[in-house]
Amino acid sequence: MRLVMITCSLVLGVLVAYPIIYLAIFSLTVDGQLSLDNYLHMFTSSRYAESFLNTAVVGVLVTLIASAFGIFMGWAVTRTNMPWKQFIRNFSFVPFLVPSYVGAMAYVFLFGPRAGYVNEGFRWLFHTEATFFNVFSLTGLALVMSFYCFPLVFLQVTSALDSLDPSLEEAAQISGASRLRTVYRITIPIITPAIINGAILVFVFAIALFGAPLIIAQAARIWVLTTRIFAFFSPPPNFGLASALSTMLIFLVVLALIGQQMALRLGSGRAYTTITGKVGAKQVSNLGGWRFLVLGGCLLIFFLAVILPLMTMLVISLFKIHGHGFSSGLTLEHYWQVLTSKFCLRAIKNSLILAFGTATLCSLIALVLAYIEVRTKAPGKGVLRFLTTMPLAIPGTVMGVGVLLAWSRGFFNLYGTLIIILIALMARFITFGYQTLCASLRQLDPALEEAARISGATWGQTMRKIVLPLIKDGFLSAWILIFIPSVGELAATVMLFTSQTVPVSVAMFDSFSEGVFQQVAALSIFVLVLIVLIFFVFRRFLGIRFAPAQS
Amino acid sequence: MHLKDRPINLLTLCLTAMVLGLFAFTEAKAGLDPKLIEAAKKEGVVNWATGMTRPYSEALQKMFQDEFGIKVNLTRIGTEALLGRFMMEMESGVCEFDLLTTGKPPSGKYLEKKWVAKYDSPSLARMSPRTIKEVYHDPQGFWTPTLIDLQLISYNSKVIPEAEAPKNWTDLLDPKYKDKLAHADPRYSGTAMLTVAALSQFYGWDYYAKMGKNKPMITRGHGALVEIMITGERPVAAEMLLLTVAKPIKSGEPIKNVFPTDGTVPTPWQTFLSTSVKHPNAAKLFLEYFLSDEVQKYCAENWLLYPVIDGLPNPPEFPQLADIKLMPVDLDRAEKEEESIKNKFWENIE
Repeated sequence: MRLVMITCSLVLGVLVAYPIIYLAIFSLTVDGQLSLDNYLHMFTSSRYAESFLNTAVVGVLVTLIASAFGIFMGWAVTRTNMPWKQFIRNFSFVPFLVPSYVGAMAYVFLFGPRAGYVNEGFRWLFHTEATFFNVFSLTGLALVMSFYCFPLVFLQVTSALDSLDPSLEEAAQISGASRLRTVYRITIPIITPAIINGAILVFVFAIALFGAPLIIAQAARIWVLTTRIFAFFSPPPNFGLASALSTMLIFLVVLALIGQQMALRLGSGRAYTTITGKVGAKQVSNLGGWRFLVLGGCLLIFFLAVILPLMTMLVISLFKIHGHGFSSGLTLEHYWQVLTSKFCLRAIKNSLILAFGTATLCSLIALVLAYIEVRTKAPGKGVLRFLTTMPLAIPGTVMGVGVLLAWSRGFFNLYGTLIIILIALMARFITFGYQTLCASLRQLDPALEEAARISGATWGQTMRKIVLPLIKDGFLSAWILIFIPSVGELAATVMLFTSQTVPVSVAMFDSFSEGVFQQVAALSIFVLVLIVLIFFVFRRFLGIRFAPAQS
Repeated sequence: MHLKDRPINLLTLCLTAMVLGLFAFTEAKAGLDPKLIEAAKKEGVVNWATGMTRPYSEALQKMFQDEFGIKVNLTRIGTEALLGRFMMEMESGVCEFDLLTTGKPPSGKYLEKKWVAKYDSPSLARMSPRTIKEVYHDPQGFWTPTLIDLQLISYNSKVIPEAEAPKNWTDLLDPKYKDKLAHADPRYSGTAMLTVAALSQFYGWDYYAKMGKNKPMITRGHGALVEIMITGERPVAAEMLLLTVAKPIKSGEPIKNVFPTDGTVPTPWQTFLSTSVKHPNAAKLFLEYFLSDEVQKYCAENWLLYPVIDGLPNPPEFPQLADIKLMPVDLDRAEKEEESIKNKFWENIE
């Protein structure tokens, strides 16, 4: 265990602590001298206070909306007789596939106040000059980000509900509790850690998001912390103030983590262990005719989050001329441009290599870290927990600069290689795997491992034959949760890429900044199709399913 | 012995001479040093970074590659972001760029830190004194103007009738343009930054405070700005680069340009070599090719840019550069107060 702890500490130190130390130094530096001026400037400026407030408001709004979507859909697909459950399960993660800035762009095309297709249609239909919905607002930003983030809660909730021992609910109903009471008194409290974990993930992810705020918020002149920080990298760069502002984000995350721990402790006395080695029929509520309404609700969320933006991107990718719509005619030339462009093909290749590498390495490391957190009383695990979770709150841009500064000097000069980008992505996304695997391991009754050891199995055998098979779905969920955002990550990679290591996110963002919207749309559709294919091949070949673990 | 039996017959000699002569004529016509071409071909590749929007930078990339068979690794980012990246990479000692073409010259810190290599282009002899003086040629030889771009006002003529279109910079402050304006972010776009520098010096920061009341949409770069203008989402571009509207205009989009009566801001594209250049001959050849008559004429015809080479035609249907009232940028102020200019823009526009 000591060797494992030391190894984990070294890995996290290299991945996370080393760039953060650089950031800390720069936040306390002005013109090369040690100084608190950055923090003084930050605390005395109303502009930064406003950014802090906007960030917190957006984070809370996104958390509330995304959690509502995620819990509703998670309950619907695991605990009701709603039709098309498997379809919803299979495709609910798709919003996560589309980078937030691409989704934001689709909603700008749809809900731009003057020229958005929906607003134009609304005005034509109702002979009015009014705007149906202006996406360039705080509400618009929060809604778009929620569509992107809700799968984080959905996956946590479905994983928890799928793994829930059905006998607990059966016992409640045998004792006379109604279905609603059972859900309220048994089901919800047991899946609370999963909901809290998902909500925390959404909050920290939302406040560190860069792409969507850059597209929507900046155009609306609404500043959040990530866009404020990114603005400091325009020459002359002000790394000190940028790093100081990033500490405000870390502060928000620390608050979120404290809230998470308090919420879990408030439920102390309750055991969250639900995988006990017993099997039984899952409790499925018969909603009668209401099941179609529930299905309608799920499909509406799915439509707004997935179908509508993807259809928009698909249609725009087919327009000959974007501003002219259907009247300009349809064409596949933009796809042909993507397929024949060395720039685009290189970007896609780089992104797939990076995403596979990040997901695999992070999942393995996160498994070890999660096991230490959940199963051991090792001293110093709090530090590991903090280091694992903290990077999520550091804006990708600042992490990118931290990694650039830390890994582009002296003997360990990795600049210009894919490895430097891999380091930044691993640092950014390891917490996804960690949170997911912690939730999975918390639901695994230690008695199973104890029983194995009592029967003479070594720790390794116990892990191989008991633990890993039971958390297989959690492990693979972690892999997917890391793989998907790694493909579209922009904020860190935009600081680290070179012409040879350009990832697809930078290629898309660059094209968007140029106004080549159709190429962005074609590229995003192409990449999405590729990812979905990979996912389904992976799933079919390895038998991944989001299903309860069987003994 | 008959002619046909000679190892190298007269016909072959004539043909060879014609080909060589044509080759020499072509090279001479392009004004390019054959020795430079040969040395550049041996290097085989050049790493070029530019803030010029992608359709144009890719076009130039392709033209150079097709002409000489030398690979061009293109990096395209907005000028401000590009210069920031250049700065970081040079500080880290890992800069891979051979040469850069930016909408703002690399003055001040870049020269102090010796990041920019001196190069006296032989093409300078073909530029007019006015071009050299007004297009910011650096007499020390650190950068070379390659194309003259102009920052002016553009609007969507389908949405805004000509009678209601702005005629000068101050017209943009009229409340009738509320929610109709768009402006590129000077933190990302070097040319937008220079325009802000010029207008803030000419009219004071109150200009942007008043523009802020019209709630302009701020886009990252001019490429997105022109698309937003074309769709009608924001039909008036409060500042626009000629280069960026060239292709849409040629495609028949309803875009009209306004040369403001109070002065058009010249924002030339200048090219410079980095001191970390790894392919110096290929880099110099690229620059000289950029300044060749063929490319300069192509840019005027297709990109609506004014050539820097004297005697070459203007963009078609555009006034002579000498007849355009210019609002020049104080480069020293733009360089010294760069951070302040960007911050003040946002403070006033928000």
